[in-house]
Amino acid sequence: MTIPYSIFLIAYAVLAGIFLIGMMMSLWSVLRFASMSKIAMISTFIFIIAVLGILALTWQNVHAFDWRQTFTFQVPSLRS
Amino acid sequence: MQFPGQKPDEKVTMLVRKHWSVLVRQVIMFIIAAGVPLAIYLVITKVMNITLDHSSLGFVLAVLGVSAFELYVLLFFFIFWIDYYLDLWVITDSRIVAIEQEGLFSRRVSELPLSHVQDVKTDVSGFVATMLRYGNVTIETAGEQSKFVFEHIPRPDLIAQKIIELQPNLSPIQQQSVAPAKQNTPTPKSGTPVI
Repeated sequence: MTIPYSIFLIAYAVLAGIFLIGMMMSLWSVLRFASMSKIAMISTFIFIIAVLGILALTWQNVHAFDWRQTFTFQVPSLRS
Repeated sequence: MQFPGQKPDEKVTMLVRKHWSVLVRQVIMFIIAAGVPLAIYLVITKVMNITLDHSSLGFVLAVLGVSAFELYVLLFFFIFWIDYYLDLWVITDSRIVAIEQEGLFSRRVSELPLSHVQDVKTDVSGFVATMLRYGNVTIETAGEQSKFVFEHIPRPDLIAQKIIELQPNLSPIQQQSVAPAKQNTPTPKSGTPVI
């Protein structure tokens, strides 16, 4: 049975997608209720920069990896 | 100063948020959670002197795992910060408005006309609260909601004093002689900086 390495990338993409939904909801909440105050804008800016920084560091470390490789393992057979 | 729901001719006297010590515990937890992967990396590379193969699957999976972990830690801390920042009490020249954010999509706004204020109590208890000067202010009202509570706020004595000063039913002479009904903190001296 062969499993492509890209499956891990897909799993990360799913987690990142869920995170982005949460991020959008929290940004909406800030924009809706914080009335664009200076502190709210600065904290939102810092949050977005931190997220972009994490994603950039992740990309820097994984973009060169060959995700087309596969992982092969044998399923134990019941036959002798 | 402005706040959501402010009337056109309304003047804001004070905008009060919870004391910064509410954030300290969460900040410490955030720093520890965010720093654990970095600490592990430093132990492996510097202390144990293990050279990591940056092109191996294991390393890449570790990077993806740490990345997802850090993103969620950051998100949870940001949501907590939003909850802290959007909780506030507004004292205007005519009313007190309590805005309480519960999660991202739930918000409770309570309003108390100053004319309905019957009694104001302050409560500062504990060593840390006394040193950092934060506590609770409880307002007893004549309305449907019998109590209005400012929780974990800085300088509750000043807040109580300001509410009493703004009482529309009292004459200036009465205002000078009225003190908060129950006060566990020393009366601030003149010249004490306002929040």
